[in-house]
This record gives sequence, C-alpha cells and structure tokens, in this order.
Amino acid sequence: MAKLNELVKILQPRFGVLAESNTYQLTVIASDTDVAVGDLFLLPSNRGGVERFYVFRTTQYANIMNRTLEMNDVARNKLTMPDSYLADDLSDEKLIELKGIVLGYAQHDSATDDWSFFRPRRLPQHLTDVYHVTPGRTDIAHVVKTLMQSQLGTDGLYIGDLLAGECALEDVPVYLPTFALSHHIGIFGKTGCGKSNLIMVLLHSIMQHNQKVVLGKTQGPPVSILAIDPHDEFRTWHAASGGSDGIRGIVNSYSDDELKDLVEPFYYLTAKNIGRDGFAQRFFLSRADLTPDDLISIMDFSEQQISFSQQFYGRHGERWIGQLLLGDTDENVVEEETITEFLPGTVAAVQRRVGFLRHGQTRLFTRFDPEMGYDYDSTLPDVICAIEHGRVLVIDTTLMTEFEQFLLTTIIARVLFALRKALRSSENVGQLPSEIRQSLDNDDSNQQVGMRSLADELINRIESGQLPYITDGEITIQNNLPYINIVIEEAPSILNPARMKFGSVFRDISRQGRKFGIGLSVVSQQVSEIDQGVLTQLNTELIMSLGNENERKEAIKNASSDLMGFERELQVMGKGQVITSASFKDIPLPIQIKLF
Amino acid sequence: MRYSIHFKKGINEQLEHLATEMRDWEDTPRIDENEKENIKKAICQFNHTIQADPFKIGGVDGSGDFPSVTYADSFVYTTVAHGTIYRSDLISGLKEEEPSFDPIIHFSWFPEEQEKRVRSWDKTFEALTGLQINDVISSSDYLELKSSFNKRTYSISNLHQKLIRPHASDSGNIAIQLRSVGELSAALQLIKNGENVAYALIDGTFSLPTVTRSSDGTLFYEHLKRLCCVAARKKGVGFFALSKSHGLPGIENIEEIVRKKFELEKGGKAEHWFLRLPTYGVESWSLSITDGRLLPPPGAITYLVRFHKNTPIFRLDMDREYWSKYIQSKSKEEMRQKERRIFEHLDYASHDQRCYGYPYPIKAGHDRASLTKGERGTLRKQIIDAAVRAGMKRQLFRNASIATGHE
Repeated sequence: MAKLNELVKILQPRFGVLAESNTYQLTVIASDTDVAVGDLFLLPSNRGGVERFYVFRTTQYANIMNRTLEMNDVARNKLTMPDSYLADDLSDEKLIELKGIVLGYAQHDSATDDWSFFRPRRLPQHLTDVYHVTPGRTDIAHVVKTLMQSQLGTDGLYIGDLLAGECALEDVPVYLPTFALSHHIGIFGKTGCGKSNLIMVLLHSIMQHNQKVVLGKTQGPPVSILAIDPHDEFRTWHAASGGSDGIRGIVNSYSDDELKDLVEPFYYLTAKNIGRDGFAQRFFLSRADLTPDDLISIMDFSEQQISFSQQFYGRHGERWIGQLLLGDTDENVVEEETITEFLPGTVAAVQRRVGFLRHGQTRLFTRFDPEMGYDYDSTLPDVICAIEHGRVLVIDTTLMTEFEQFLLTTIIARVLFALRKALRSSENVGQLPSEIRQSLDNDDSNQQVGMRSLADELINRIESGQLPYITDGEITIQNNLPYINIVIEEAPSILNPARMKFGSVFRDISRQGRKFGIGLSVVSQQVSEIDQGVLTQLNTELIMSLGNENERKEAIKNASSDLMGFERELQVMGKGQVITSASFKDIPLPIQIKLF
Repeated sequence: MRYSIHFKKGINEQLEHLATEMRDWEDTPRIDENEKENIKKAICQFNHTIQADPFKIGGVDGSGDFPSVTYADSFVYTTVAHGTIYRSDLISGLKEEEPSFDPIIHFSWFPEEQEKRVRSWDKTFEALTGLQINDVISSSDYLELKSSFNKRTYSISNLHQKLIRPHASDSGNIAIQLRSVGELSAALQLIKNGENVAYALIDGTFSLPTVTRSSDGTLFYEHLKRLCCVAARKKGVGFFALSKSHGLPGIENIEEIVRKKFELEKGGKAEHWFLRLPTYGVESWSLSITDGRLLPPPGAITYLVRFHKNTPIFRLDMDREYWSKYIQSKSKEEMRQKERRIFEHLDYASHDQRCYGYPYPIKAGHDRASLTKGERGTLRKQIIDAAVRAGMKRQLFRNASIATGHE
C-alpha cells in the first residue's frame, strides 16, 4: 500500500494551503480555480509522526483578493468611481477562500501497511498543503479509493460513484453492504429527482450480487427484494423509447441455469390478464390471505370497528371477508354473545370498508368459499417461496387501487415476518408446521381457523422443498436464507403516525425485522410525514433532492450519520445525486447514481 | 520618550521657532505674473481615457528586509523586486500577461571587514542585474552625463572601484541602494524581455545624486537607471519614473493656475492635465519652484501630471533622448498630440479602483514585491535554518533590538 509521500506525489499540483482551522471548520486559501460546493480535497499531515490524510469537503467559498483592498471596498469603488475597472491580475492575486468540514481522516498503519478511516476527531497540521480531488484524474481517484476504502465499500451492492462537487468520480464506486437490505432504508427525494432510477440501479445490483452468489464468486446470502412498481417501468425500463431494457433485459441475458437459479418462477407480477408469459405472471391474492390487521394498517378504523373485525376474524378465520360481504352477521349476533355488543352501525361501517374486496370490484383478490366451489387460489405462496430463494420481484400495480397496492405489500410483509418468526421459534423440524400455523392464527385444536389454507399451502411447500425452511433434515439457519427487503412506495400513506396508532405490521417489522433478516425500503417524497418510530429505525438513508427546507431539516435530523455541512448540498443536489448516510459508515457520502 | 513638563517647555519653544520659519518661507511669493502666464501656456489637457487602442504597459517596484538577520558584525539583507505587464483589455480594463522574467529575490551578506564587504557588494550588484558591473557602467550613458556636467573624463575601472558601498551596519543607505538596484534590475528585465511593451514604469524619479559631483564616487543604481534609459530608447519603450511624493514647494500655486485656466470654481480641482517643466536648452523660461533644484535631472525631462482630482500631482521623469526621439516635434501641436497620447495611455492604466488615479501596474508590482511582517519572519527563519544546516550555531543569529527590548 502506498505511503503518504508516494500518494502526495500523485496528487500534485497543490491546490491551496490550509489557513485557519478548528474542529468545527477549516479554511483553505487557494488560487483562483473553478471549484464547486461539495468538492473534495485531501490534506496530507504528519502531525505527531503519524501519516494521515484528511478528507476535506467544501461547504462554501468566496472570492478574495491577495494584499489588496477588502473585496467590498473594491465593489463599492467600482460602483462609485466613474469608468473604473478591476484589472485582471494573474491568478496569484485573485484567490478563493474555501470553508468546509473535515469528513474524516485516513491513517496509515505501518504494521499492516494499510490505511484505515476514522471520524474527524483530529486536525491537520498548520498550513498544510491542500490537494484537489479533480474529477477525471484516475490517479487521484485511485488515491481516494485507497484512503476511503472502508467507507466506500469494496463488495456488495453498487449504488453509484462518489460525488465531488458537481462531478462523479467514475473510478470511485460506492457500495452498500448486502446486509443493509435486511435493515431498513429510507429513500427520500422529490418528484423527478431520480428515485426510480436509483431503485432500478439497486435492483440491478441485487441481481448481480445474486448471480455472483450462485457462481460462488461472493459469499452469500443472496438478497430478495419486493419492489412495488406503480408506473410499470422496472420490467422494460426505457426499451420502448429505444433506451436500455429493464429487468427483462437482464433476465434475457441469463443462461438456462441462471434462469433456474435466479429467476424462476417469475420476476414480474401484474394485475393484468397476461396468464403466464415467460417469467411474468398474473398476480392475485385470496380473500383468505387477508386479516383485519392488514386493513387496519392501511385505512382508518375506529376502535369499535377494529374490535369487531378482530372478533369476526377470530370466529370465521380465513372466511371472514366472505361472510362479512355476504352480510352474514345476524346469525353471529344470535350465537355469539360478544358480537352482539357491537352496534349495527359499526358492523355496517366495517362492511363498507371491505366493500372494495367484493367480486367484480377488485382485480387483486379472488373469492374464497370452498362450500361454493371457490377454493383457495392465490399467488402468495409462490411469492413467499420465490422470495425465500433470493429473487428480485417486481409487482406492477398500475391496475390496482391505492388500497390494493398497500394491502398486497402489507400482506406479503406480514406473512414473511410471521414465517421468519415461526422458523426462529422452531427448535426442530417437527415443531415447524405448528409454529407456522400458530403464526398464521390457525390452531384447529382450539377451533381457531385463522389462515388455514395459506398455512396448508406453505407447509406443503416446505415438505416439497419449494420453501427452503428445511435443509438436510434440519431447520434452515436464518443466516442461510436470503436477506429480504420490501419496498414501500408512497410510504407516508401507510407509515404515517395516525396509521401506526392502532398497530401496524410495519411498526413491528421496523422494530424487529432486522432480527429476522427482513428490511423495509421506505420510499417517500416527504420525510416529515413518516412516523417517528419508523424513522428512528432506519439504518441507511439515501437522501436525494428534497422539496423544501422543512423536509431537508427533517432529513438531516433523522439521518444515521451527522449531516452537518451537507445542508447546502441538499439544497443544490441535481438529478440522480444522493447523500448516503448509514449507521455502519463513519461519514455521509455524496453519490451520483448512473443512469440505468 | 519620557515627556516631562520641563522637557515639554523646551520642545514647545523649538516648535514655535520652526513654525515661524516655515510660515515665513511659505509666505514668500514664488511665482510672478510672467511666470504664471508661461505656466498657463504650458499646461495641457488630455482626455479622460476609458477606451484605448491595444497597448502594453509594465510596472516594477522593489522591497526587501534591511537587514533580515545579523550575526557578529555581519548582516544579511534581503532584496525583492517584481515586475508586471498588463495589456489593455475591453472587459477588465487591464489584463495581466505572463511575465517572461522571474521576480528578483536576493540575499546579500555584508560583513564589516572592508575587502569582503566590497566583494559582497559587487556580487550583489551582479546577481541582481545579471550583468558584470563594468558592462553596466560602460553600457549606461551615466558616464557621459557625468563627464558632460563636470567637464572631465572618467574611467570605467575608476568608477567601478569607487562605487559607493555602504558599511554593513549602514542599513538606511544599504536599503536605498538595494531597493533601487533591485527595482531597476527588474525594470531592465521588463524592458529587455517584455514583448511589445510600450511603457515601463517605476516608482521614483530620474534624479542622479552624484552626477554633479566631480569625484569618482558614484552609486551603482545611477548607472543602472541610465542603462534602463538606454535599453528602453533602443526598444522604443517609454521608460518613465513616477513620483507621488516629490515634495515640490508651491505646487498649490500651479494647481490654482490650472484651475483658472480650466475655469473651474474656486476650490475645484482640475484633472487630466500635464505640464512639462521648462528644460534647459528647450525652453527659454524657467520655473521658480525648481530654483535650487536640479530639475529636470540631467538626461531627463520632467512633467507634472494629474490623472484624477483625488490623487496628488505626480512628477513624471522620462529619458531626454527618448523624448527627443519620440516626442519632440517641429510643430508644437504635433508634440502636444504625442504627449497627450502618452498621458492618455497612462490615464487609462490609472482607472483600477485599487489605486484610482495612479497607474495600476506600479501598484501591482508594489503589491507583489512588498513583504508582509509574516513573510519577513518566515524569510529570516529560513535564512537561519539554512545557516544552521550548514553547521552554524543558531545562537549566533541575534536580534539585538528584541534582546534589549527595543523592538
């Protein structure tokens, strides 16, 4: 590994000199050079005989004059003195003064001959030379990579290139570790800032990672992501307009074996009637997949309505929606003392709320009434199996109502969460079916129907090996199962404080999901509208250009790492520019996402 | 200074006497009506110039640290000089060009011991100019001027030998010599190496302190100053010395004459005018304010000029031969035109806000050459560090003033 002097030689020429400095702010005086807020600089230092490189990021700069009048005086003079000018001196007379913060420093360890990165607890020496991280200089990019490797990452999911001011350092890629997806991620940015492209790049990186895992080029586990696609764009991306193809293009490039290992049975689900078209498939759920908690998580319910729904579900289990829609509640009133306590208005209100599940009014939910010949018919078990094999699943929700979109996310998240918990609770293979049934409220010994059909399906699939919860006759260790991430689009609609008040599956996942390898990706234009409890659980934030000052403040306030000094950056960020902040990184990193 | 009451009384008496003397001198009418009329006729106006045909103008200034460090009875002096070249520019007024010569920085070591000191002076002169001393003396026209003035001949070797080389501790005179030689060396480089430079300006005058003395003792910078004139006239460069603190008495009388000529209200200040001081052999009248002064200096033509009402009247000296060759004309109007053109160019160069009314290239040269307190300190430290690395003891370098509480 190169030492300080060798790296300094590469960084030439000198950009400027460190002037006043304290632990809060550094000032650099430099020649009249074209720089931008956010530009990066390296300051070699040998204070105390320890070789260090400080990484300085400018947050503001000013034009100053060398040895002449104060700039304001010159401006005043120019205004009041007739026909006066300010002669254009060579660069050493017109200087710039940069102010900014130390992001951290890399320290050379002579024992290991390696550079380690630390948070900014120290200061460079007096009058240290300052070197500009010039975009386009591959040699300097290499130095940056050497010094900041632990922060940039070397493996995992590529998300973009380090941003220095306005330009990306193409040779300095930034990676998210794969485990970040089993934690919670916030993706914040206003309309048009490039959120979709970011998610597309992320999906591609996940697919690349999974491919490497299958080929044995990197250690597992694979990663699964459930990406809700409200605009139906991830599948074909810009292929229709002559641009790059989306997931379809990637999938088409796979060999048969790779398709088997990485894609089967599908990567694209839709509410459109496409039957089965390659690895695209019609997506539907059964009314039997639905619990009152799912509904409560996405729409307003009074306490009485919640209580009624839960009791009704407790009695009818997976048939509760059908019974409710049939209006078959009077019978219950006679038979069940507790239900008689509910006012007819409460019952009617709940009936109205589930009205959108009526046959003919939903493309998503199938009827469930075995006595009438409507058996359990849902793609949910297939989705669960696919996710537990490490898959990228895109669900096109263009033909779904907003409720349906939220509901499907909620159901899949809840079931996955329940299954992972059941898996963790099981001490042996024999115990697993009963744990799964319990987690799905199905306990026949206590006449509790719950989600019996779904439980039956899942247990069958475990036995057939489709759901990989048993390995070599033993319970599969969770570490060998994929990291799961569920993307929640328009997050404020379901993760707002009012919705979380009566409990939500997402509140549970945000608090406990990490333990079970399930993470959420909270996608939103607004940070302020999201429940504080969820925000505090985010470990990684990908912050893009935000709409207003309040949102920027909220983003800074809730970031996992200190974003002091990035306020201005957030204000001027262009399309595809992101500030990543993560609890597992020492410093926030500005990144340019490449156009997919 | 302790300012006791007893002491104060003596001072007050002295000051009163001084003031009386000054008042009496001031009250003496210095310009008669006839002279006023001559001045009025000689005063010429030029245009406030905000646009100019393309031209280049350079400026130099010198500075240093005199001395930087001392040890035993020897002293180290630092000389700095810087030249700048600008071209007229539509956007920024003046735009600086990359100089084709390096700034001058030189460290001179002067011991008190005679032989070594002389050697050190010669080494310094040659290092600063980049020329042999004899070459400077022989190429310059100073010798001719001195011979012509004193009606005797001088040999180059004698003049070389008798150059005034102040003692190592005579920091006042050393400062003048070093600063002047540094500045003129930079001017010579600018004249020789500056491409298509129309004007080269220095801060000062073309006065030659020892030219009128018959003795062989001369100052090296006198030779160098005249060498600059010779080199400039060969290249057609207007080499001018501009002095802002010339100290001519009765200057306000001239200002009043100008005001009246331009029919300004009382108290008003005329600007954009020049006045060529009567020159022996050119004009038949004389100016009483120059009585007792060698003005214009031998070999020079002197102008008084005002570029802007807020800046003082400057004295501008130019080489007489340059003047004869490039300005003097048979027709008075033609000569005025040539003079106007020069002053309009200088006026154009005097519109930078940092020194409005004064040619900016000189100011720029000054800014580059002047050393801040910090820079002086750094240079001193570097000199001592180098000496210590060479095997000397750090404690040899003392600052007696600091050590005795004088600084």
